[in-house]
Amino acid sequence: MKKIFRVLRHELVTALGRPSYLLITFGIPMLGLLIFTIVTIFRNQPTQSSADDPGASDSFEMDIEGYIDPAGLVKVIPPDLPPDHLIPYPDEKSAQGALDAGEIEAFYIIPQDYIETGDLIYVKPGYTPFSENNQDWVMRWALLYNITGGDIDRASHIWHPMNTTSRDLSAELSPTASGSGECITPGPECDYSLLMNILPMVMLVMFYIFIAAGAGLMLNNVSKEKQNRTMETLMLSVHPRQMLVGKIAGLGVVSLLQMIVWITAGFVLLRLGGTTLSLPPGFTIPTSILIWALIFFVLGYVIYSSLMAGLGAMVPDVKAATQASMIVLLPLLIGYFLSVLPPVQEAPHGALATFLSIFPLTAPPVMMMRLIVGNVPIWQPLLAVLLMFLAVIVIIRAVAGMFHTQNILTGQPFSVKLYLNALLGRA
Amino acid sequence: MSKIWLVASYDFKKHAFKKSFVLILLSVPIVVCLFIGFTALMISFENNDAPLGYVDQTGLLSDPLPLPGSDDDERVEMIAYDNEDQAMAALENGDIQAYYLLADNYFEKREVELVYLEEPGENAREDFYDFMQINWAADQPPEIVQRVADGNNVVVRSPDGRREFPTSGPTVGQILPLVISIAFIALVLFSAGYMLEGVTEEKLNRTIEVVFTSLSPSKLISGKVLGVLGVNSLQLITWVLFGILAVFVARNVLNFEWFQNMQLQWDSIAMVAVAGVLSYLVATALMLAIGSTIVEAQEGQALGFIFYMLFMVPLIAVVVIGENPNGPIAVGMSLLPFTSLLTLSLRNLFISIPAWQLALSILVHLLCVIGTVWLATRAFRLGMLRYGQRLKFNEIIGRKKPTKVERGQA
Repeated sequence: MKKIFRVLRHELVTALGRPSYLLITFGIPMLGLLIFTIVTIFRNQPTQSSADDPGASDSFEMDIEGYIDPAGLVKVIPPDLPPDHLIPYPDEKSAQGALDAGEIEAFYIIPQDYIETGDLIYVKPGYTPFSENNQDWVMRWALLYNITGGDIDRASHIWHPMNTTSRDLSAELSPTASGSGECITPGPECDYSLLMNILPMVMLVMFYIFIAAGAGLMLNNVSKEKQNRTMETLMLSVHPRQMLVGKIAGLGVVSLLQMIVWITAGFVLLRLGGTTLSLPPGFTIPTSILIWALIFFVLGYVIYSSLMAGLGAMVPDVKAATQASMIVLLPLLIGYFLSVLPPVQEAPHGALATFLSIFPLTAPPVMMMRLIVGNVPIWQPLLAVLLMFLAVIVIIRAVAGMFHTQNILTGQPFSVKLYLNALLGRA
Repeated sequence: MSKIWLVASYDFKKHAFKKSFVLILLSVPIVVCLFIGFTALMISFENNDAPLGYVDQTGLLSDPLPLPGSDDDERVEMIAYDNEDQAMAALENGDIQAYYLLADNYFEKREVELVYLEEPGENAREDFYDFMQINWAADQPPEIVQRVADGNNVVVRSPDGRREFPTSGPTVGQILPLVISIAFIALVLFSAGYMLEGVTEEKLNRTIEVVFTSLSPSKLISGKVLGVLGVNSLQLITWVLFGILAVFVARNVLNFEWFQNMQLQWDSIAMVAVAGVLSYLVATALMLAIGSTIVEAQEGQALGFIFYMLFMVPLIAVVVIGENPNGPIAVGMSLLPFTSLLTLSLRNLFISIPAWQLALSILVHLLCVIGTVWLATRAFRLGMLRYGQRLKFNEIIGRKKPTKVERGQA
């Protein structure tokens, strides 16, 4: 036990003292916070309200704009638009002159063949798709009103023919609310908050990244010690299992710290955000989810870092280790890719999603995604934890067996067959 | 000079003649193909071509106009039902993916109910919306109905006439400079590994001591830089050729509409190419300097990733740049090394970047190139024979002289 703690302490001190680790763990979130702060300061706070709907023109402060209409399509300005806000000009030169003089904010050129082509040129200084005061809908609306005969009721129905309400017959059996109301649980059905909508996906991605990064730390560590021959010396006084457990625990704490710092920074950014990606008022992550997250992260990390440690013992050098790491991460990657596809996203409690969330090598990110969505039968996370726990025992035993002299001292090139044989105790 | 070429040729062959280099060479095209394939897969999941039903209790759709393109199976088929029971039976039977219900009060409230067992395809929803629109214009001349169905093509033009931006999205010609800048960033990410490996590998395995018996440090470093430049050029040429092939296939074989009217903006391409080359030189020289100071190659790789993140910083501020492309953040980021490449190409999408800003940006980059190259050569000279001992920044810039002990170790 004492030797395990000694290994743990060494890994902890070494990793925490490394500038690159400190930079990635604290530097990047701080950079994000810094950029966010600068952006918030410089961003224009009061913006002109905009609408893409003729019906909203009462509350919409419309810019005065001009138009050139050689075909004479715009005979009447629609009655719901404020008067004297669309000014006709005989040619582009006079409209440009008015624009330069500041009499109008922009002008339109309606080509002769508008009916055939639908082309409409909008001359506007400083336009970007992100600008909030774009009002090209005004001329589109005026043209539609005029070409369809000047009947405002008909033109308005063509412009916006329907308000759709949905009746999901399958949802009548499910408690999940959808549509314009507030969501009970996060997920793709939740339309009213973008963050609530993508939260399960965010959880999936985060778990994938943190487990892969933690396992990567272990791989670098072991392969480096093998390359510089430190491991040969260590094996004289520490049992392989003691060393493995010490390394897993030490680097696990380091990875956990990284995860906590990043999640806290993300949470702070979202709380400060207040716009598109804001958390709904009163939204809190249930304690049970946090406990499950901790359990699944720890178990997932132990499985993958153990497998990576085994890989590190087999590869000749650090460079080869990096190239071979994809073999170990493949199940996690496959689980991740299957989970981002619509069959799993739209049916998070379907057969495929359930299997992926229980299978030990894919369980951590997929189960966390499902737990965020909610309504997961309790036996499923419990079974997943049990299977992962069994997998941890089997994998640690198998990997400790890989730290044999013939593996550590050998300089032979790495192959998948060799790795799998060693894992199964045949090498 | 021949020794420089010898080193360059050795380094080039070392990287380019590896089997794994083919994979690296094809990695970007493969990732791009996977991304496009994945997007197409996602879109195909969102679409559903099965027929759509409707129950019209208003009489609006009693003798409906079909959607343009219905004959060519480009649109979802619309099937009318007399009442909701029939539509429900068809839905449960799987004949239709969903049905719309236009109730008596539709004319007052425009409310339409969509009934489904499984979420209908996005294309089906859009087609029914278009179907409603054209049937509201059913009594109009055919060319007006066609215009209502096709909508408008609004192009926003800057007052000087130099920039045009379709509101439906950028054209291939407009997006190309952005693609080129991303290719340069990918190149920097790849070059990080080569550059750091080139500096550290021979130092770590002690070969460098032997090499210095017949070669000066400046010749060695020049050869190495040329070797990496050669490898990166090969990568860039491969990507360009792949890009040309992809555009050819998209345009002539798959007949994608987006690629039909390509109007390349050569001035924008030239601007991004200059910014890309200068940014690449600054990043490469800086990596060389860092590679000379570090003790282990692994540390250098982590720093290479941080460089990559610095290049990507403008993406975090993309909304601010987009909202105000001439604002202080956008202009400031256009001048700074690392952030300038993406910022310039993003701003170039919306506005003509003033010439003075381009000139100032180039000047800043040239000064940075000179500074970083000086820093890199000095760091390399000072750090080439230091083992297990980190080179400090003060030592590189000459403010702190190595102690006798340190000199003795060197």
